[in-house]
Amino acid sequence: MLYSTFYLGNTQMAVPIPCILEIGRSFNFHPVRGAPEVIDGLINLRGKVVTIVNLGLAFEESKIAPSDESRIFIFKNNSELKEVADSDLVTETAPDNIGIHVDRISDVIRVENEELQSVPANMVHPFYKHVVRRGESFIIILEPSKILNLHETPDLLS
Amino acid sequence: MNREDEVFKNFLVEMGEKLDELEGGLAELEEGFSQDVVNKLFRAVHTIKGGGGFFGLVKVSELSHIFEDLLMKVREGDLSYSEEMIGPFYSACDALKGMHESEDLGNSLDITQICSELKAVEGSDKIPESTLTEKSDHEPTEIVWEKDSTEVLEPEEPQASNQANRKVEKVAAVSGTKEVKEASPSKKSQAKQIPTTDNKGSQNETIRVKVDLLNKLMELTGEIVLGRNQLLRQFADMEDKSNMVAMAHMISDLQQLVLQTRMQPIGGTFTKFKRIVRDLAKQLDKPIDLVIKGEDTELDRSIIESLSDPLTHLIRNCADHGLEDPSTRVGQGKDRVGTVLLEAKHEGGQVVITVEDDGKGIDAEKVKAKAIANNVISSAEAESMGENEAAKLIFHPGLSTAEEVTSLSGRGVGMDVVKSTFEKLGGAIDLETNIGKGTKVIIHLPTTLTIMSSLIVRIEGDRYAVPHSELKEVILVRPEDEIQIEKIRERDVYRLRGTLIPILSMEEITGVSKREETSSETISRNGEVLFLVLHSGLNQFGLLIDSIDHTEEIVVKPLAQILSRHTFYAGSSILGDSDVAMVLSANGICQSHKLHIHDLETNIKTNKSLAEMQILDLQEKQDLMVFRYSKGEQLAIPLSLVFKVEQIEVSQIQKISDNHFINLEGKNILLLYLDKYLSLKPLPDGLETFYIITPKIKDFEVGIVASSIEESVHTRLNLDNPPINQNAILGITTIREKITFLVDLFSLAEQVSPERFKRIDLEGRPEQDRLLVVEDTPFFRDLEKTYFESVGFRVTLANNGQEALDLLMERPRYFNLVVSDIVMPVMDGYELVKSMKSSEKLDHIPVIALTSFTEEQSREKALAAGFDGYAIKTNKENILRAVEQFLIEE
Repeated sequence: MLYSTFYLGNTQMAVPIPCILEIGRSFNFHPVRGAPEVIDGLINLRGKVVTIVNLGLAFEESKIAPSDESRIFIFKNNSELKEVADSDLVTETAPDNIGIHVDRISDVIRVENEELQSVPANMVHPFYKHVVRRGESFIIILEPSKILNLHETPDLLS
Repeated sequence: MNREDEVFKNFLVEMGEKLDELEGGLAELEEGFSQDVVNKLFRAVHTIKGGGGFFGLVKVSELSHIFEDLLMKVREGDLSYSEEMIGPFYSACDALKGMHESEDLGNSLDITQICSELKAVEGSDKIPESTLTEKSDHEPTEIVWEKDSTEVLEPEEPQASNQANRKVEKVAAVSGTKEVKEASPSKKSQAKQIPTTDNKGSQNETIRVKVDLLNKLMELTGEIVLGRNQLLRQFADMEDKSNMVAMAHMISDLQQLVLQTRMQPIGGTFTKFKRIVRDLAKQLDKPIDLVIKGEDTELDRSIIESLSDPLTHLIRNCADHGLEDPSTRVGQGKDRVGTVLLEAKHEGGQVVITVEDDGKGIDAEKVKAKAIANNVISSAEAESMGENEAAKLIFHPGLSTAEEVTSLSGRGVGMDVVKSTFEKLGGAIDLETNIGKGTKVIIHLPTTLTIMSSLIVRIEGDRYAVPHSELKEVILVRPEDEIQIEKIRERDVYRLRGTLIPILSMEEITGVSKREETSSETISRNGEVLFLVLHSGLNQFGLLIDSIDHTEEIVVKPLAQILSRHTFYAGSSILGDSDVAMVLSANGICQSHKLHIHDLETNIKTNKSLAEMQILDLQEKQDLMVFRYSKGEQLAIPLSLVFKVEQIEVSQIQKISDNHFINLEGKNILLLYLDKYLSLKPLPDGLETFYIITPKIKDFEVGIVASSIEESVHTRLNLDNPPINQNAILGITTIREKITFLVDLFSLAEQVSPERFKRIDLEGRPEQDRLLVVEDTPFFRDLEKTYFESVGFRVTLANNGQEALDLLMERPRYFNLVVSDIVMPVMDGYELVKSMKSSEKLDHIPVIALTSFTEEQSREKALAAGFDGYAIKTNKENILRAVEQFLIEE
């Protein structure tokens, strides 16, 4: 399957391309007063309201600041995903359109299922699904379902 | 999906409908036997049986067969109907419903008991042996029966039934056995009758549409409305916008119609309560009368669907906890039969559902004690709680007052679920209880969830949308005003026409304080404070805002799950300028802040500032909206009579003969140019935009044209008589050092459409002319005085009940008649009339209530309190009618 990769800080991460609706520049977010810190705000994506999550905090780094390089990965919602992708990916997303804020976008990579390795015990994180080796470095494959259903991870919301 | 599945799905839908029909029919049958009803029941059961047989639902077809048989005998007169049959009929209906809902459609269910119960109705021996054997070998026979029933289905669902029919014929041909013939004759005769009695269906001219499709249509319409708003904004500067405006109106119409497609009368949901109440009455051994009103009230489908369960719970509560045993009731002088009232009605853009019983009411002390025991409140909190406030604790999870747990209710689960269900629908629930008299639960619901007319406001830099359905008014408090926002027990409050309302800021609501720069903004307002008065059910509160942007029809989009904890937001929306705005929810705010008005009132009562508060009451001023028509003259009307103010463009005006109209939200509204009615200069030339004011007067749908809206002021009214006799001018006053005409909207209405607002020239003169008018609102006080004087009364004024009582006691023989408002500070109308009627000196003086309460209950309540008459102050005619009977013809 094809994965789109991006950087959060210095870590390269990847998500399956079929889950992605589009990738955009960091817009002007409409802040939601009273919302938890991990939420940057809402944007108007051609008539759709998309909630933007800032994963910087989720990985215990600092918040990602909008810059020329920063991008937003907007994920398909369940019904959009159902229309195009394999049904097993549907569980990966949420009923709402959610976007994640990343530091910068990187290459598209093809990963065969055999290449997927489990996450080493010393770096287990609820959002990590697999790791993939590319040359000298590791790329972390994220579990979109966990990120997109953040409300099920209450500690992050406080 | 394969065809067969589809046919089966259609059948399941159909079965659901038939079951509803069946239930409705049984309720009718219960009220009285009629051949029509039995026919209806028979048809419903017959269809179910047919389908059940066709699709191999053994148990469904077995039970419905027996049921059908029984109904047929009743129909043909072989068996005479008796009331005892109803019970088993209902049980059969329930059993079928259960099967319909179960996973395997009842195939694994044991139905021997219910079958024998049914058979017992006519005596089991009467059921022919052959019928019973048929069932064990049901397939061939059932198929033949199915063939009959599909004929019945045909007009409604040609596709499905044709398909079914073809199949049936095929199978029947293969298995054409002896039994087939045996069964045929009797069934044939039924089949013949059915189409003739069932032709109603084809006359209704309805088609079945998938809900999904309607939802998509609705969603798309929402987007179109949004697009329209954006276009209108984008091309606001264009010269010739006529095409766009025309399209905008069509889109409004489209939106209305699409909304309507989703509207359903609530009656369907209400009907089944007859049944439930009947069962309850039996189970609890209490005779109960269920009164249903307003079945035709329409609500969005999705709302109606969610109403059934919570309403069932409320009604059960009424029956179980609310109503007393018949013997207790008789002992208390009540009717043996308890009454439960279920009513739906439209009110101010919302639907209000009331569930009321005339039972024992809720014992506030008991609830408090339990709440304290369960650590829901502290005893100190309990102390300061009002009765209704305490009763509302039953909505708290884990509280129920029934001392005994019955099978129906009393486990302490439920009321909180009921409450949250209504709140999820954007509604609010409230409760009024009166020990010994009964309990009333009032539910406010929006009619639809998707498109809402909203006010867009700015709060500390951000824009928020506030649905009009939750907005009561906008108030500006200036430093020089006498009523200011005060602090009571660390809370900001404002006294709004005699009611204290809490004032909240966005900071209090969200718990997040905004960046510092906003504080300078607040100061720049010169100490003026602007806030919205929002309401959720009966609770009101003020929300501090910086400014008002505009009004817009918004499409509310639900919040992402991540944000769903933030109940003070109802959702988000994209505004006409493509910006995102959060939609505030008055309900959510009340909920998350546990705002309760009664609570606050109680706090106030114990507060030392009570005396000060009363002084404030006496100095109550009045809100006026000041506007201009021509350049020079400043005009004013009471804010309480303003429904809406809108800015419009000259290009939007449509001329029809001499009249000018404007289309607002699909309504053509007549424009009123005041220079035609008052001696004013004409409207200045070259205006491109102006304002129209829509007054809040029944049957007076006009737009009063204004060249500019100046402000709204809160001031004491010192009215001088107009220098020239002008009908529609109430008087002259000075506002901001400018002479201002106060327009008399009621007289204006009379002049504009005399046929509707015909002036009553009460030619009579008062028999006895010394009239005391008791009224706290200055505007109405002056208005009433003018009106009553115009028919010859000598009017004395009092500001409230206490003042009136003092005046009356001073000179008990002086006044011949008292006209009093009901809601007043210090002493209200009820108290006044009670004191008067219990005083020997004063009980001879007739007292008329003149109020703005339009509900029938208020009239009853007023008359019960001792008022001799009741009139509503909606227009001059009504006001004068209050004293009509005291006039004599000359």
